[in-house]
Amino acid sequence: MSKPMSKEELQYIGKSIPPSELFEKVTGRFQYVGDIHAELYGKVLRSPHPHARIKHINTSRVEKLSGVEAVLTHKDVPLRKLPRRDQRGCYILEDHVRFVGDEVAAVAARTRAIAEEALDLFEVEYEILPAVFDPEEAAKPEAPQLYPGGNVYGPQFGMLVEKGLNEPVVMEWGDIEKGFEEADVVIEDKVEVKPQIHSPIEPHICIASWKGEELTLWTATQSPYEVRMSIAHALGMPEGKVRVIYGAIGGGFGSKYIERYQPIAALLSKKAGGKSTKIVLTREEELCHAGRAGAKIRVKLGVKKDGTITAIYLKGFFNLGGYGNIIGGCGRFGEESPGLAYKYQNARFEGWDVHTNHISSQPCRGVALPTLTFAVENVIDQAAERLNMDPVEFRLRNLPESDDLMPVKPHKNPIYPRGELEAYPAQQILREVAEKIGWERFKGYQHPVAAEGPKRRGLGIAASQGWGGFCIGGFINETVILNNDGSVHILSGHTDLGTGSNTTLRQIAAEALGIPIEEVTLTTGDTTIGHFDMIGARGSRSMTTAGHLILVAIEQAKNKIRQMAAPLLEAEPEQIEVRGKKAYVRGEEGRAVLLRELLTSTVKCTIGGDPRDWLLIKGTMWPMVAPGKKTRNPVVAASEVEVDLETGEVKPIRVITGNSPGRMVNPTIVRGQYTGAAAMTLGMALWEEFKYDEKNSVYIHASLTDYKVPRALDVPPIVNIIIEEFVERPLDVGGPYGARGAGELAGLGIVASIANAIYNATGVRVRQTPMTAEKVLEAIEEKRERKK
Amino acid sequence: MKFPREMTKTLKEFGYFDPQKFDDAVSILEEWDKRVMILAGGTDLLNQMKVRQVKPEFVLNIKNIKELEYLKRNKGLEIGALTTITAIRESEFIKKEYTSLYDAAEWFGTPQIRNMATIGGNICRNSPSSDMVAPLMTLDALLKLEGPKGERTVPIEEFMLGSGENILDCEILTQIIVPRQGKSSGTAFKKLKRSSADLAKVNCAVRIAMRDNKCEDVRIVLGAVADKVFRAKKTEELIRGEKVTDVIIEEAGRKASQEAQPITDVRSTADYRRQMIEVLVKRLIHSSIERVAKIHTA
Amino acid sequence: MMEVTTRKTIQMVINGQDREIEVRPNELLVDVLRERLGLTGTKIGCEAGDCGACTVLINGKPSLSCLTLAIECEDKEILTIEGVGDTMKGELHPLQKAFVEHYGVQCGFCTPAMILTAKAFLDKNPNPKEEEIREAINGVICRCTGYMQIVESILAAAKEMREAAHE
Repeated sequence: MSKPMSKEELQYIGKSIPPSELFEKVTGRFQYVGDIHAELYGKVLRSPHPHARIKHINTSRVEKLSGVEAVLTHKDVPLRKLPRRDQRGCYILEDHVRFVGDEVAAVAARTRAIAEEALDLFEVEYEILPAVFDPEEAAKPEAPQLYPGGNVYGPQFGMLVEKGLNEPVVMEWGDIEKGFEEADVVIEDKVEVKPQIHSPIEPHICIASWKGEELTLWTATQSPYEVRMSIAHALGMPEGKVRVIYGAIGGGFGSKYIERYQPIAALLSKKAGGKSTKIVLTREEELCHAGRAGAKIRVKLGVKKDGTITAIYLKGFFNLGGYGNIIGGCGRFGEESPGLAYKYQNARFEGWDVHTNHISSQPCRGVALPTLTFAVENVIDQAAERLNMDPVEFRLRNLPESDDLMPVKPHKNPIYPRGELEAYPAQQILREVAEKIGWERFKGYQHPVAAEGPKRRGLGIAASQGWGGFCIGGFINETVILNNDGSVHILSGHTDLGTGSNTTLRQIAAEALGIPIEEVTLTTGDTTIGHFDMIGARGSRSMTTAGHLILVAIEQAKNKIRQMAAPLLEAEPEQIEVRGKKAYVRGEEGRAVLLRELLTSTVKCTIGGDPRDWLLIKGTMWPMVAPGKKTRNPVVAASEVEVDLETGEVKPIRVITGNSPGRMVNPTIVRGQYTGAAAMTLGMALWEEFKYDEKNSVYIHASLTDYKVPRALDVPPIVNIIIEEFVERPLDVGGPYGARGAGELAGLGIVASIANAIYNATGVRVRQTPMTAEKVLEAIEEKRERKK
Repeated sequence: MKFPREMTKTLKEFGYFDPQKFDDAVSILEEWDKRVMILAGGTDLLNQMKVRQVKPEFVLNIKNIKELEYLKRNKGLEIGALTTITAIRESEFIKKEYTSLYDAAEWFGTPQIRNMATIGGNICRNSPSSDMVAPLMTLDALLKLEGPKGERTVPIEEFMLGSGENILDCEILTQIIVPRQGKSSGTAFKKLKRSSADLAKVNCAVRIAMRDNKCEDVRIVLGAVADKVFRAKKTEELIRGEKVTDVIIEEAGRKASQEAQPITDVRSTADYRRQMIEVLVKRLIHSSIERVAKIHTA
Repeated sequence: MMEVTTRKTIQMVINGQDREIEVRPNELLVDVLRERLGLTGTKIGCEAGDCGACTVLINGKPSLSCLTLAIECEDKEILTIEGVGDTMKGELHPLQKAFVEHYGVQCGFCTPAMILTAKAFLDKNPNPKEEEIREAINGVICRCTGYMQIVESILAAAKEMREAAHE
């Protein structure tokens, strides 16, 4: 078995090697899907009504327009649904439309101008149905029904879900009734968050073209194999005949998986004789397509005088919109993290994922965790105040530590096993973050840390937990090919969104094999290599999962070579090490043979895809890393804000993130991911506002003029506190070299920390996002009224 | 009905003119009148054309008429209509002597927009939240309009008609004239926005001239809270000729907020805007007076 | 009396090279660059002037090519990302080098616009403060980085450019 190495011995792990694509990106030579020419331009006709049936659709005028080469309506699509992960399967087009912007029909034309003109020529007669927009209302039996079996999706994880289960997703342990009885103080409150739109700068885009019965699809997607599988299924094709070319993506953040526009482009192209057909969403379409689920969450927290949290009851309604992804809803709680952030003696987390006639929920960087953290931290902060405890002290008392068996009592659902948290320096992170933000300035609630004229400054801190540790590998393939000359080639099922995984995976392989990183090449970006990644780039798992499997594959390749070299070196296979392009007896570097001389062909190992891992999907994707041991990510955030009491304007002054990435493979990439995630969630907290005009059925926020994605002058300096802590294990066990995921993790506590900072500055709690000047001022005035 | 608003992004075909001489531009206007639209910076016009808000048959690009781009000190200020917002922002003497105009240029859009957008274009756009109009109105700016029928000079206050209309009648705005300000005059401008680059929720410009500790003259202009940028004249009356005490300033804030008719839209609510008018007017009166003091002590 | 133009052959200097192309008035500069001249380095993010991804330098000034008609650029100098550094010789501009070394690039979609904007800024302002850099790049939205490493890249490039100038 290969031994892990100390920091001094490591050549590539911990080195900030610039991702290889950067040279192409800074010279403008990196080719995105939009840079590829297509013959035809496709456009989608979208529903102007939030809920309707298509009674009649007449495309004759469209077809007559010169330059139009294909038209598609719900009558033309296959009767098989498009399977989608954690989401209802849906027909490619249907005569039932479920939100303003839902796909109705499509057209492909020789130029974009003709396609635009063609949209006006569709004649559609709708039967308008009553609509429902609030998830709590939609959960009631009398609400307008979007699907048979009701609007509540329920805890079901199949790919072609047909009916709703009128049940919440539940995670619980202990007895919360008793817990609340034991409490000295009980705080109850609720928060509401609006959807956050991912809005990557590159919009959704794909090009479809056919050669005979074989489809090639270029698309910006985080889950190419899901795209392949879903389209193949819906079109009744063998998967091998659907080729997805991916890997050049201008940002995803959870928005780019399998959508309807991809099979729509495929069908348009087919109808046009296979001509390459490009569909790209306009920014307006992009901004009313899908987003992080809006939610309404109530939390009840019971605490003892000494600060112990005796009970927590969280009940949330998550807005799935018309077609939403349930991971984009309450995050299933099966991911456990909301429940393990603090040591809750007794707990019940109840999440209702409900369909409404709004844009679909799609997991957005951190998924439900920023929302859940906001909801929970809102009462955590209030509890600390009620007990007259310093907010940092109160949290320290309740944060779990390494080796704590979590959750505090066994889950009621036996699928989620308890385990000891590993390498979990939550308390140290909290202390260091507090110190960095200058927590010694905190003089207690009701005392802003600074005041000048109408401006007040406040500090806020929040703790949370995320995934991204060791993820089950059953869903992804990795192949390691040792070439004759000892260089290595990797075929990988993962997707690099600009997150640098193409490079970090090569760092991992180079380290494990003791060869220069220049001799490690990697192929991804084309499903032809026949790999698979069911989950795709989601949950901050690409580098850890693929990296883990690559190390397993390398170990297996080494074992093959050990067997081959043993007779030559006159030693037992276990005595032989394979590094630096040679096989040698451990401790006797002289007794060696070059791989170049040993191998007569390549040595290839493929790992992944064990269906037994499927069983775990019902519980959590983040299994034990070793018997009884869990890897989870401690997360802390702190903010300093300045609030103008007369205008309600909130200006973020400084943001500190605190995380433990396990062992960092590439520090600069990790920092970049942390900072980016924090900035994105800051947008959710302060500026990005989803707005729907119900009277006119229009999403009025749908332009970047009105949907305020943060700019350079908006985002303050963000400092990352990074504590590397990991358990040394053999390389083929657990996260690669002890690494954990990073992509989403630093954003989880930002919204909560901003809300808590506003409270410190002004004495008012804002319980909604975004915390605009209007809302803050309203809260300040309400408080003034109550005081009178 | 197109979801959610016009989904088009291409430009329809149009006839194009780009004269080098102003007289040619006038002739084109005379011939085509309402069938032609003027292209200056393009940041507004091209967007409107893309979403089919306007569908001009002809587009007249006046940017090659170099004689319309200048910044001259001539007792007061003479600004060619094609002067970019960047040029205004980078002018040292505007920053010193017409500070509110600098304030408006400072936060106007983004650097790219500032490089392209012209002050003439911003005025002719007739937006009730126009950043440049508010300070110009406090400075009693005059606009020179020239066309086939000749030329006229109108106070900027008479230029906008509300609801996105102006008084241009087959004419081109060529010059903005800012009369010379008194030595004891101070100006300020502020716009409230959702984030660092935005249109105004409320904007406000103030100019105050002081003599012997009393307000000799004052202009208070509000934007984004009515169907056009306007002077809050009743508010001005409260202050004019008076000693500017805190009490007067409070009253002025309240009065200004009553003079406006703010609405609720995607950017903000009517209530919030009304409250902010009070806050801004008070703060800007203070700032303007402070700036008077600075000029005096300078 | 001027004749109306419905198509015109115009001259432009693009990335230092004289180019001649026939355009119709309704063609946008961004589309001419990308579709007709094969310069796909300039990106399209919103087509409304908000995101800044289409930024190119027109006569040295950062401008939005999605809101510029190609025909307006007659006799002007255009710089796109392809004209920054000298990739034929394999030489990167200090900004390009810095963005690579300091990870000012993640997905890369805003990168051409960021680099061009930063170049125009540093050419006028060789010793900038952080706040000034943020102001200069406020017109290009980045969703990936949170701007810290972009600012670090620009500061590093500025330092290298100052040191090179002193030699």
